[in-house]
Amino acid sequence: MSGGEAYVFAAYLALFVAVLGWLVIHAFKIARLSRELAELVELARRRDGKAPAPDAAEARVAGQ
Amino acid sequence: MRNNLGPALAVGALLVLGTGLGLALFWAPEDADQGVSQRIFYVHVPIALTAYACFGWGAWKALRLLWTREARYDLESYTAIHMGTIFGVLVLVTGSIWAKVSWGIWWSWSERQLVLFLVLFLFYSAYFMLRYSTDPGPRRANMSAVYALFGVVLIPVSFLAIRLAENFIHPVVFTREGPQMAGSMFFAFCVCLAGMLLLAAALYQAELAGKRLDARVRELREALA
Repeated sequence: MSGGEAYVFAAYLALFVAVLGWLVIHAFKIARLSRELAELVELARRRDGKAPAPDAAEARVAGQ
Repeated sequence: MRNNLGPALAVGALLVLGTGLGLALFWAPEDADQGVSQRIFYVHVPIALTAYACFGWGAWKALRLLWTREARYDLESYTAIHMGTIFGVLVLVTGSIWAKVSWGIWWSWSERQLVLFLVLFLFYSAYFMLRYSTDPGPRRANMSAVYALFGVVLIPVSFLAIRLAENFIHPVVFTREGPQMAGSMFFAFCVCLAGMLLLAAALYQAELAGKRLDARVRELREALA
């Protein structure tokens, strides 16, 4: 790879890394929101006096 | 009704940008003056125009907020500026790489185009400092909207700076006579630009959906507390 080609590769790589970085951050955010939502579903069920059903709540969150 | 805009934009971005980058790397002819390094043009310029579009979109949403007082425009304006800042970082990174290979330097303080883009970028970076220094609510939304509107003035200044400059080393590709490049190069550039705009739109939709979901989970937590 020549010097010029290496710089072209670096510029295209920067775009790829930025999109990938955004995707990783977004995946972490979705995972956090899923966790929080499952906690809130459990909290709401406990308030209603129903038996907690973490499996059902998790399945609902996972199925979104 | 299910909202399929986000996935459709993501698939469109993947196809169009993938095609555009393929055309830029393997189909467009090599520039006689700059050689292979000119191929950075196909990512750098579309990224820069996309950053301007994101900032412009953020300002438009800010104007809508001030006009209609609908709270949803605050989040939309903020998300657009967030995306614009990400593309702004990429403009500076790809521009510096191109500068190094073409001019032998990473940065030139004497270039108005570069300095004005940096000013624009820093202005919008300060937007986040302003936004997070105030408590959430209508006051923060109004302040952020006014700030976003002020920033949009810098976009034409930054865009036209290169044409106003007398001594420059930054190339001028688009003149009053049209694009100064071969038709195949211009076609590859247009496909890359369309792909980059689609990518920004897809990221904007996903980011907005995430932020809205975050806000609703917070509301739910407060309601259940």
